[in-house]
Amino acid sequence: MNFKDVLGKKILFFDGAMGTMLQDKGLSTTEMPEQWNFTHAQAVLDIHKGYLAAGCHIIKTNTFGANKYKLAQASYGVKETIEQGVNIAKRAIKETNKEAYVALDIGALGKLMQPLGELSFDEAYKAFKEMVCAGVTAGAELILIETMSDTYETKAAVLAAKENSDLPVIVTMIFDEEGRLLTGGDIAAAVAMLEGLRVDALGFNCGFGPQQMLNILPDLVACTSLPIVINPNAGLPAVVNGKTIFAATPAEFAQAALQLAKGGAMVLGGCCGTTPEHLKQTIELCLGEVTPKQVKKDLTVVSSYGRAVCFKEKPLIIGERINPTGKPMLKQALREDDMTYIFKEALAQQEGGAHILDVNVGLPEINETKMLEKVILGLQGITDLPLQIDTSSARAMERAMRIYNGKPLINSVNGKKESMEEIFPLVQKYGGVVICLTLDENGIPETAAERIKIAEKIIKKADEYGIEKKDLIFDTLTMTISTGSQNGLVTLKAMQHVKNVLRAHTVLGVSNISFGLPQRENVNAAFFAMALADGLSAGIINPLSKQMMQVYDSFCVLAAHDEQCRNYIAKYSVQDASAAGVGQNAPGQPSPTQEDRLFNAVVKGLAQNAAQATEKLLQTKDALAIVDEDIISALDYIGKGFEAKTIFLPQLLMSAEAAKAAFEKIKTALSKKGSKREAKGTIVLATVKGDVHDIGKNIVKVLLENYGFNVIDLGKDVDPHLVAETVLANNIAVVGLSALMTTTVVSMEETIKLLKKVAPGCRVMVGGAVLTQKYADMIGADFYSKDAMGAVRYAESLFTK
Amino acid sequence: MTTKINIKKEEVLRYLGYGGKAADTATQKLMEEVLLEAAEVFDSKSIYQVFPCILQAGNIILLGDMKIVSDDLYKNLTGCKKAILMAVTLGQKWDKLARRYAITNLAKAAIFQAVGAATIEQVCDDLEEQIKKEHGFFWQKLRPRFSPGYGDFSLKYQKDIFKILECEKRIGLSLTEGYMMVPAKSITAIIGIADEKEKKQQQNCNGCTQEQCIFGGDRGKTIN
Repeated sequence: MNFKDVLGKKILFFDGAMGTMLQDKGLSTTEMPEQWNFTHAQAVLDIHKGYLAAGCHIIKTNTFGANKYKLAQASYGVKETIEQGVNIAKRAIKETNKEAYVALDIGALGKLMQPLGELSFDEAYKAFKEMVCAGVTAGAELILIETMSDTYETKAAVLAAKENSDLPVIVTMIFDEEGRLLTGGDIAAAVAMLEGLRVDALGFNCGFGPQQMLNILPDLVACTSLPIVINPNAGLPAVVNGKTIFAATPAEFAQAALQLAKGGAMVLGGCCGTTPEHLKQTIELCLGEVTPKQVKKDLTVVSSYGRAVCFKEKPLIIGERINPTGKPMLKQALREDDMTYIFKEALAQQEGGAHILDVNVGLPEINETKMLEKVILGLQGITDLPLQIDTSSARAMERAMRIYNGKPLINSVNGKKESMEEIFPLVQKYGGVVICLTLDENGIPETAAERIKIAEKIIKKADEYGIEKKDLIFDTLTMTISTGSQNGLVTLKAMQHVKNVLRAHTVLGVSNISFGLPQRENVNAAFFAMALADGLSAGIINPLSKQMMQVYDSFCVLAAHDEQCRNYIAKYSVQDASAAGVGQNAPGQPSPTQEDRLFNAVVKGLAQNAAQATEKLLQTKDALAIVDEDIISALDYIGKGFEAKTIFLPQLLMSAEAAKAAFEKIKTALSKKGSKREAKGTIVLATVKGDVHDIGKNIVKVLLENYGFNVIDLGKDVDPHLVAETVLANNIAVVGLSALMTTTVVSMEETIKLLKKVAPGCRVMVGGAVLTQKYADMIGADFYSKDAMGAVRYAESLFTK
Repeated sequence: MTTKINIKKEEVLRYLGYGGKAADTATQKLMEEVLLEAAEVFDSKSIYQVFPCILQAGNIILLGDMKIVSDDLYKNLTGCKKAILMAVTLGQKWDKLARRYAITNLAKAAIFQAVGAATIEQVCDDLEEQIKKEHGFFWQKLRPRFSPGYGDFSLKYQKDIFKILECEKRIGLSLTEGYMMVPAKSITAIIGIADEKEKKQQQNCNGCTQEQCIFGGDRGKTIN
């Protein structure tokens, strides 16, 4: 029988540990277990046979670490190791004459994914693909992706399995006692992503024993509709004389396994420390004792690497601010590739109370597919809010859904045939919750009834792709009230019907209602309140708008979504207390001039005050004069103090940030006049290849910018060739390189050598914890900067000659 | 294994280069904020094993399945029949907060860097205490932690350490091609367990090979 036909129909049993068994037979802890497929094939075969004799239905091939990274130094390649592994397992089944399935065993790659680590999503995918293809050729009957602790790596593995085979895919991950992955994700987030990717079964393995897994099993049962697989260790590990021992006896293990089966597990087996005896007793105890059951869950969930956000009764806030429409600053940031601006917007919205962030980076003059990928990857490194991918380009959408770490919200599909045929296959493949706009080939219907009809059509069509209603959210479209007095009511009427009759979730972009009216926020806030009262599931709004958030927070109190008004009180009882007292003067003292105020604000590192003082000063004083006479003199005061060791790094940086806030105001004022602050020169900064510690470089960057230099920041882990190319392309005279580790100073030297070859006139300054003057001289640097101010002084000496 | 932690502010200032001087109130306040936010993401994970330690002629050390060639480590482990192999990480959440600070507030980013250094040292110290208790090393002396990259103890041995301790799987710590650990705030080390009772030795800078001290200390002198 086909594995898919038995999965979920009856209780099935995986085998137990391979690694532990091999270690018992003499495998060293520094050796690759997969090498034994060649050197000790008989031992591997015997272990498989032991498990088959115990009655296991599925045996895992000895290929857990057979990926190109772990096998880099081994004498056998990925393909042959996997083929050999599958063949041994098949031989064991044949020779024992048992009915059992061979699972291609795929473990984690042992490399951390970007942005934290070095492995890109595409590289991970490629490594897994190599394993999958070898396993398929050799005749594996299912694919087990196991011992995963990162949802992102898991997604790469699942896509590799799905796109390169028709085999059933099972995923088991390691969670801790609190139900969290090492990467911080919880069970609900992992399940949302895996179900979206259409795996066949999922569950836990490794980490700890069956007893502890029993504690977190209810969390899994609560959120998955798929068969649950559990492969625990034989209890908790203990180290005795340098050897890892697992404490649970076969009888104890079997008893706990029975509880797992009763608790909802449909496939059971073992991980580290389990033996054929553990499995034998488990099978004897559990077989026939339990009939597996499977309950379908009707949850609407989106997820990020770290959290799941579930659409329930309490409405959600979708932050709308990362969208260039009508936002000149964001447009400029996108054109200039200024990621920091975008990231700040994201973090500010999270702070403001957003649950999900909309991401739209479409501008005619930029490559949207590339930009969307870049922004999403960046956001995944700093926020754990799920993202709403917002693009009208199918190409950009597919790429974004592919590299997204979790189950995204998709913005959007509509009732047009073309739209549905474009978006639904993507959702079917990558998973996601889709916002459905109730418009079609004939435009936006004027009546609620017609919009509802389109919603019904979309539900039907989605079903053809196996996309359930729970993964659709309807937007009944906010039309501008100034063009038709019924517009608000029509939208709400359609929305109520979707919510109450079609029983689907709803979303609205609220602010369109007030287009063309004065003081738009008044109308927006009222419409938002009406929509919330009518049962809106989520509003796409500006979480930085005080008025909108007041409506939301008040609604939550009034609609019983804020127990004992706790959130409301916490948020609103302290407000405005901080506004007083800043920049105040002691009574009796002469009031300081605006110049003094700015100087003091920068010296004290008060960003808000610095910005305010600059704004005021701009009314009476020329912008460039403010820069030269006031801001720079404050910076110099601080810089000298830093050099004299009376002022320390945190103060230097607070002042730098305050100066930056002042410069923002200057920049705005100048750009209004069509002019700008002339840069003293352009400097390229990079943290060298292999090094990811970039704080020093970031500090130097801010200081250089404050002192009027234009900085091209190449980031961290930068290839020497990229530095050289940038220098040549922009005719750069000064480069700053940073390295933190002794090992990466080698890359620094390599970069300097290359620069000296291709651009002999270019000066190179270096800095970083392990560097010294002597070291800098040795690797051919022109200047060694012992701290951030040193870099500024050197740059000034070069450019003011 | 997650434990709560108490970070000494003086340690943080020391890492920031204050060299015993007091911080101004603005810095103090910022540091308080950072410490609160750091406590929220603090989720350290550690793993260790105790191995018999065999010193062979010359400079060869056998530790479990590992064979290490290093004069400096040999010196450090002389007199030890056992040694601890350990790995500690402050985890991914810690790195993510560092990344957020780098975007929102550079002063906080610098302070957080120092908080990280102080925190991981504290976590290592706590782990040593825990190991002493668990293994009943009451009268033995633990040698100063010795990490790959110290002296002539090559970073290449990180690969073996990672395999033996199963760092990726157990504590989510991984090694890049360039032998850099991710998450960044992580430590691996060998700690010799000296057989005989020795007089209490101060943690000092004698093993340090840096030519200039970023904390304002002199070589050969102890900074505390």
